[in-house]
Amino acid sequence: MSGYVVGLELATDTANPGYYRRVVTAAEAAGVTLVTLSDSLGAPTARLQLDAVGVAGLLAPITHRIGLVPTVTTTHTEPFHLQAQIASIDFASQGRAGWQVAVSSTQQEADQVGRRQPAAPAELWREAGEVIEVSRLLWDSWEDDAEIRDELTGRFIDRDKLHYVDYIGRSFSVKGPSIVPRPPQGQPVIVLELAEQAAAAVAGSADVLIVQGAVQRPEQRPAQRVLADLGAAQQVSPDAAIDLHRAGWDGIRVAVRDAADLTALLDRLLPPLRAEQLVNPRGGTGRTLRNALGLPRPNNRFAAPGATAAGPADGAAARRVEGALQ
Amino acid sequence: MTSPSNRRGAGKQQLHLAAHFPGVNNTTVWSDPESRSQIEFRSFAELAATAERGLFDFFFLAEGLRLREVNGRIHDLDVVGRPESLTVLSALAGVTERLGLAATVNATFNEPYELAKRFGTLDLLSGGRAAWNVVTSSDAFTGENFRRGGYLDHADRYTRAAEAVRAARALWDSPADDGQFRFTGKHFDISGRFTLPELPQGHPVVIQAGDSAQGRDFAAAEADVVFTRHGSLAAGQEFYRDLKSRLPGHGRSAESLKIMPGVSVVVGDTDAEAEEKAAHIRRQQVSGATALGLAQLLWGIDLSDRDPDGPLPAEDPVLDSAVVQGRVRPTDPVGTVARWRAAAAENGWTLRETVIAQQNRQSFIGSPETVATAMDEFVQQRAADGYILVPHLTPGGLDDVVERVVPVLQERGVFRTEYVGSTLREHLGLPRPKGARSSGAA
Repeated sequence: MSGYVVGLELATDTANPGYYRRVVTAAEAAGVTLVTLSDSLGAPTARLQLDAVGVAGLLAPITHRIGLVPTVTTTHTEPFHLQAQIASIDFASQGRAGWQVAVSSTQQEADQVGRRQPAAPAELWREAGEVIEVSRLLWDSWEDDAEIRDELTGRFIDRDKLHYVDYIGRSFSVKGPSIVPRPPQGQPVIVLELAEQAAAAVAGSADVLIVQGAVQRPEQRPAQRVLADLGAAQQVSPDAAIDLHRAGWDGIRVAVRDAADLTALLDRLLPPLRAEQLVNPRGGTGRTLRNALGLPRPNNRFAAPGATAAGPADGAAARRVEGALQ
Repeated sequence: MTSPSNRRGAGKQQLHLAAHFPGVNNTTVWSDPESRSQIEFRSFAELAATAERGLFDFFFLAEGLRLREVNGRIHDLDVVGRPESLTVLSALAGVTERLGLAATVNATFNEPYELAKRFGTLDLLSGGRAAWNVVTSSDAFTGENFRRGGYLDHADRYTRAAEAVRAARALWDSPADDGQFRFTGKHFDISGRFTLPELPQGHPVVIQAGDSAQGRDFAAAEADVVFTRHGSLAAGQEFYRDLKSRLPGHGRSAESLKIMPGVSVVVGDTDAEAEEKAAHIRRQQVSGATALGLAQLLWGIDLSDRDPDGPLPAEDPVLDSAVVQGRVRPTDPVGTVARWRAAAAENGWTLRETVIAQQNRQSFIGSPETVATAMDEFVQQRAADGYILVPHLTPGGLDDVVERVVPVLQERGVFRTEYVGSTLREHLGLPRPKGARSSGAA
């Protein structure tokens, strides 16, 4: 049974690997469920910003229970690389990877990459929805038991269990299959911060929604978690966190921006939550992030009953199935 | 840079060694009982730990961007699938201390800003151990997985790769106070603000693989390490002389570029035992199905109904064939088929036996002393500066080299007995790049 979710928001604004190691292992030991690592292609304010996937990679083998959720933007990046990176963190962490979706809307970001002009938020989030969809298809493009190592026939894989995704979006297309086998969670956890109105367009395809402030809880589909984003840890009272739990929220996320925030999180906020048995730091060694969130491991849409083996048609069928579920 | 080994090996060239994680081709034997996962992180961590125990310069990961195909279907006989290189290396940065971490990343399907940020992040998180093996692709086949799609002709691939490296260097060199950068070239016109501080190495180590004339020019201009083919001593010396002679034209010293052929090593108690092991491994590497697959690659025709234990196909090779995708065909199929036929006729070989004989990629076979002597000779005779070792087993394929060959090299004073520096540039004896925005240039 999953507990109350406590998320930690961490900026990738130091070059010191020891900092990430210290903060995240301490948070893990205190019962924090996941850490989101902020990143962008632009950094309008922060002078220093590391690649969040790199930081998540660093943390993967030196942590054991906490979910690792780097931010990766969808506007100027390659969907095929993006999904492979997240799947690779899922392997390195034995099933604790997530992906926080973000877009790049500024002229500065466009100029730095030099490939496309910026677009309106509605268009960027529409495309982000396509990147989410193709990522989910690519994560499923290998069935779990595709690797067979059959000496008799000399085959390493059963290629009927690998699938072209043949995805054609408005601004990109991807053939597939992924270069990475299906990750341990099947589908790594997709996290969406509802920070701007246009992001709501893809809310239905995220596993975890993060809502700024504890205002109105958005509509929630089954197998989806909603967290309240409460700002800096030192400004959050344990009572507020407990009240939100009683009001039906699945959890909270707090930011650690300095040493005082970390102290507040570890010494002031978490002990009452542990006392109320909302979080259990000893629970769940070896569990996946999906386990920790109480989300099931999804069936592979290509292997679903009724689907037949390899072929371009499978992708289309799977997309129809997904459309019907939403 | 004085160490006991240097004194004992006074005047001798020092070897550099790297470990290549077993790749997605038939060098890697997946059918052996000792072969473990090609995808789980533990396999990567174990091979990296072995390499670090052996005081290797770096650990090397190849890249895949599209699964290979035969006759329009995914090739299923070799290892298939792997994690993304840079992500794996970031994870290894957390569990290794000194080992260099080299990722192959394509310059065609990535943009300089991201490349500079991702490799820069790895260099920072690892304390100066990052390396980028710059490769290029031109094929529309791979492009089907990417926004960019499409096709670059062969010459454009190298200009784009060279420009991508120069653009990344411009970002790594951007002023420490505000990070402002601008780069304008034929392929890239980018400007903005880079968000990383000075990198421990100034620039990550740049590796180039490929022997073509354009590849050599690119290497002489931009690379710190060349990953090349291993052949005869004379061929190695010729390549070594040619490449190093191009360096002064770029204002570079001969020591600023290391030439490291990819090699496979088989070690036994005696030379005879090693030969037996090597023959066994060759048979494992070429199953009947694999022999047909490799013949198909050469002939360019569908051979799936042939008997690998029968004769060679009687047909002539088809030159312009799309039967195999995502793999490089031999450059001269007609001549190669003629050589195979001659060898098969002379030895009475079946197709599989011919493929096994022609596929021999084992460079050094013998007792630890024999292997160490041969490896050392190529380096002392200026045919190489060291080797990228390609094991056939995951993850234990370099255990013998590290436990048995490295001590002999150390005894002879041609390989380090401890890490002296902490960055990969220091392991390789490479200068800090001139343009780097550092105050602490060595």
